[in-house]
Amino acid sequence: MNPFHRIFGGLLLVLIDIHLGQIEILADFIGYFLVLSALNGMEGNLKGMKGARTTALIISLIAIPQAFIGQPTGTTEGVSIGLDLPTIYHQSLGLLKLVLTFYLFQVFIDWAKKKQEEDLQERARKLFRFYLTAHILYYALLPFSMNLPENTVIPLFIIGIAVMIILEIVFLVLIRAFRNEQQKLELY
Amino acid sequence: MKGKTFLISLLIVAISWGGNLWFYQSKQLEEPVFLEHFYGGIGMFELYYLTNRDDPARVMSVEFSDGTTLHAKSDYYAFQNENPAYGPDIQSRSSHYLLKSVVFDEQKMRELSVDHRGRATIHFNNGETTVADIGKVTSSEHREGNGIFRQQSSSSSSNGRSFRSYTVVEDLKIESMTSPFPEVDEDLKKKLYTPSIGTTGTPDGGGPRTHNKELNEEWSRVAGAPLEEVQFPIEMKRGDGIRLTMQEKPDAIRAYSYEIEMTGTTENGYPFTQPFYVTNDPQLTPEQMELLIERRGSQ
Repeated sequence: MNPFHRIFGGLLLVLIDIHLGQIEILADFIGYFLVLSALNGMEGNLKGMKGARTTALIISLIAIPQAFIGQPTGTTEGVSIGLDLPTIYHQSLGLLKLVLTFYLFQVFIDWAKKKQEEDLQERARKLFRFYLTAHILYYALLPFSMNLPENTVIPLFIIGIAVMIILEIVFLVLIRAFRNEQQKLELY
Repeated sequence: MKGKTFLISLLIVAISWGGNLWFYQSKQLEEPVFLEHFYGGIGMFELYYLTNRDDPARVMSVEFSDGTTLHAKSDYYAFQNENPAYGPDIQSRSSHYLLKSVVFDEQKMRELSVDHRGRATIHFNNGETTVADIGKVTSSEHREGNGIFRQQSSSSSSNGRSFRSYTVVEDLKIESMTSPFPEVDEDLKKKLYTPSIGTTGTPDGGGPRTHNKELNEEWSRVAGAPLEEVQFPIEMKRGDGIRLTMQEKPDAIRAYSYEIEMTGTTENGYPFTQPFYVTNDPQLTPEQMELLIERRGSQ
């Protein structure tokens, strides 16, 4: 299977959350393992590949418990970010995922460069900048929700979540473009 | 984005988490802070206290200074909520604190004839115990209606304004008005209106001003004269209205529920007493919560 196709499927699994009670079906760690296996199937000398493989391995292991503990209370009842362990764990996973995305972007950009796909490289570069800036802003502002009044935090939180989801989808669309490009290359 | 830039960004994220966690921690209370209460045995006794936002503790029972012990009404415990900030006992919340209240049965208090002053021992449902000044709590005898005053209307507003009005069904003379808690009155402005006092305003059939308007009217334009300037006795004719309007000072953070007692004689020479019910069920803003902690925290 095309490695981009597997990365696409893996990240889609991470994005989709279906819970049966406490247990998450289509658990995130399965998605991360898919990404890891795809990366292992690609050329090892791409820029960022080492970091991407290491991060993917770490996050697939760390994310295993998440499938069984469910969502932290913070997201189901109000938006207050507490100091409890589930919340800290959940946020750390989010940050790790951001590190993984950082390396994935590097890999994609280098791949496009090697295949002389100027358009794709430029597209990835633009999204790379915007995606990371938005996520870093989000994670830097998130802890302020502990100390700011609820009615300021809730609208900001809703906007933040919406932007994050849109960026996630745009990122998936980009990966699809990479997959199509690779298929085309394989045909010739 | 370069690896270095990304690393610095992650560092900024970490600093933001650390700083906010530190600030959040610095705001935490070591133990709940209790409001000062003035309870004269009228209506339910509600005990108000401030806890940390993530603290699920509730008051279970109180040992009063006269040795009596009362258990809180337990109906609240039927509605458990996973997040303490959304429980049924929450009166107000801020990003760090919750104002909770717990209700005690007034009938039970009457049976025990509770007479409390100052520090009480309070037990929480998590096994913790604390000693705190909760103010003055007394019970009272059940009062029979006198049939002379007919309740006309009463209303209160979130800005600390409230009023109560009656019409009298006989000619009578009011000789005095006394409060069981004079210390409350310092921060509670009062104006009394009867047609014979009537220096300003035109309430109760005398004019077009609605009750709603009276609640938002400037204090100087509220009907009647300040209570301390009123000359007793006050003569009233049958059908006259009497109204007491009260204004709580915004930074006076306390809870009270008691009766101001009015005494007098009717035209036929029968003495009577008539209560004016005075109550304040606090809803605190985040600023008021900070003020309360400043004044009463770590006492």
